[in-house]
Amino acid sequence: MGKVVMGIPKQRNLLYFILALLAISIVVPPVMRNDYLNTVLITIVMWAGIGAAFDLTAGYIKVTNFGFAGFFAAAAYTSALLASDFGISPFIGVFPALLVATAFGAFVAFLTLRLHGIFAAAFSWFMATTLQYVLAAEVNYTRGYEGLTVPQWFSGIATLPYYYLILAMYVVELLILFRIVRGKYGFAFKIIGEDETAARTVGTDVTFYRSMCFTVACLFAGLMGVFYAHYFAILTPDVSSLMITVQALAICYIGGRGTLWGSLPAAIVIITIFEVFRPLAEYSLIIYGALLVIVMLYAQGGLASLFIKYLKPILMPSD
Amino acid sequence: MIPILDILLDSLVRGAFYILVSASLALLFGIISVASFMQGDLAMLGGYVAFFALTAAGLNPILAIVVTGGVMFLVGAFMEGSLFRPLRRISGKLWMFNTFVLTLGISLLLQNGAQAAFGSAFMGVQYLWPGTTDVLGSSISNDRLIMLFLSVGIMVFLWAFLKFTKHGRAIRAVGMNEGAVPLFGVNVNMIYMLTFGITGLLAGVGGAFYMALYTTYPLMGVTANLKAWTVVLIAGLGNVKGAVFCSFLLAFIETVATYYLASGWPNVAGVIIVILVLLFKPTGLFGTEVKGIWEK
Repeated sequence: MGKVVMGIPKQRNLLYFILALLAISIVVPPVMRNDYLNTVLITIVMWAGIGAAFDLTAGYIKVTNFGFAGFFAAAAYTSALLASDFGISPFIGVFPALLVATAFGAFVAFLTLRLHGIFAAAFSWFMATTLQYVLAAEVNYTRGYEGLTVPQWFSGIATLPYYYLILAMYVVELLILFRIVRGKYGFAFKIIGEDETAARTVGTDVTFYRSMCFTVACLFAGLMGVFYAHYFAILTPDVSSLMITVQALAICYIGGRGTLWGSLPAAIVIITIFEVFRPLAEYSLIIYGALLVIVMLYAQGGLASLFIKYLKPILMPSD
Repeated sequence: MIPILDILLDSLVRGAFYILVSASLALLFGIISVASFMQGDLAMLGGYVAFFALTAAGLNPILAIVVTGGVMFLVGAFMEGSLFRPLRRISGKLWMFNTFVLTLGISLLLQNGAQAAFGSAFMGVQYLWPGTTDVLGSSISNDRLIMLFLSVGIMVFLWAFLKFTKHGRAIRAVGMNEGAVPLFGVNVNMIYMLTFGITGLLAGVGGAFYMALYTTYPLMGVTANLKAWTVVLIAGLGNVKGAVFCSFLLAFIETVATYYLASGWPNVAGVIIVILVLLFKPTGLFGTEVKGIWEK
């Protein structure tokens, strides 16, 4: 487990690699001028961001946030309702939305994280399901399964602004998350995940660190939810369903949990496969199920372990 | 007038469904620390097995239930041998955390596999035993009555099995201290397999009952899972006796909510109970970690 920590990019090669990747992702889309490519890239980056948020709890404190979609949906609907009912721009509405997701996360953390992680998993799942019932029932506000029409981030049909927006969100998310997990918090998270009893023995405030980790993950789930709402421009109660959680979980695990960046290669591979083989989308859940079983049994390191094995000697020669 | 008798009868019958699936979940968790997300889907599978045993094979109801139990026992044992045993070898301390994700994967496979194999149609039978019986002036169908007794009977049988037989004692011993058990010549692998088999049987028979009264369909397991986890969280994780009691408790609360509140609220009622339990007695009503002095 411990081997998959990405070091501070003091290593020059690694820094260059990341900057090159960033430069390519900034320069290539406007040069290609291809809307289809843009939409695929947007989906990839969005799922990489969702997977990273999921990874913060699954990979560090070892809590499977099974109600992930609930936090995603809470923020999405908050921002969407503010925009559609009160005409508040999503660039402002995103802040109250994040507040809602964070408060929701803190509530679940407060209730469950004194206990074993499985309580948090099961309970947040209940909350997400309840939210789905409520969203479906409160037709007057949410329009239920008819779908809520949401104003978009930008007027016009250009896809490039959305790409840059989600890219910026993803980069900010990764910067903040890496900043957190590389400091003392990350150390505490990892100890708690590896051995809770040992963490308590050395005086770690397990409940506090776990709650904090969980709440931060909910915040970023919310951020991705807000992007989702104003990008797809339509919301149904299904955004709070298990489907979103399962995809987040699958991308996080296939990428390799405990790395944060692993979701990016996982999202690239999975989204590309589903784009190339369109008919597969119908069987997406069965594929995710099979992949989860295979990853759990044979490749717990996920795709990240491949990268670490082959690229780490080049990028981080000092190790 | 408050229809007390109707409410009680309804909640007994409703509770009878919750018992088997939630007991299977509690047993898995309590004995071998598997946080299972697939018990509802095993119930779904049991429903299909019973359906085909009744319709395609034309067995009589009792025989069909026995066949379902047997088949689902084998399914559970096979899953242990083929999937969970390899996982156990590589998991160590993360065993419970890993089982949650593995069972989720299996759950997705079962749901969508059933969809591919049987289509998404609702499959059910009209009745197993025709007719109704009067209970204290309130009429109740024979099916419901017999299933209530069968569910309770199976639980009594399970309790006796765990309490008095050699294998039952070995299973409980693994639940108490897995490390020490091999010293007494118990084959731990065999106990794991047996436990998985029993939980498959319980969930499968529960699903067969559900199929007989309502229908079975590929996504039936989703609701069953939700109910089972609600019951188990209220009762305290891994407490089988508590799960039986809380099945009836949850059923009672939901029935009352159905009688007096708008539709949709019965589902929310369960979550509210869980919130209250987590607030005031987080280990569950029958939680084993925190014991009062008179419970020892």
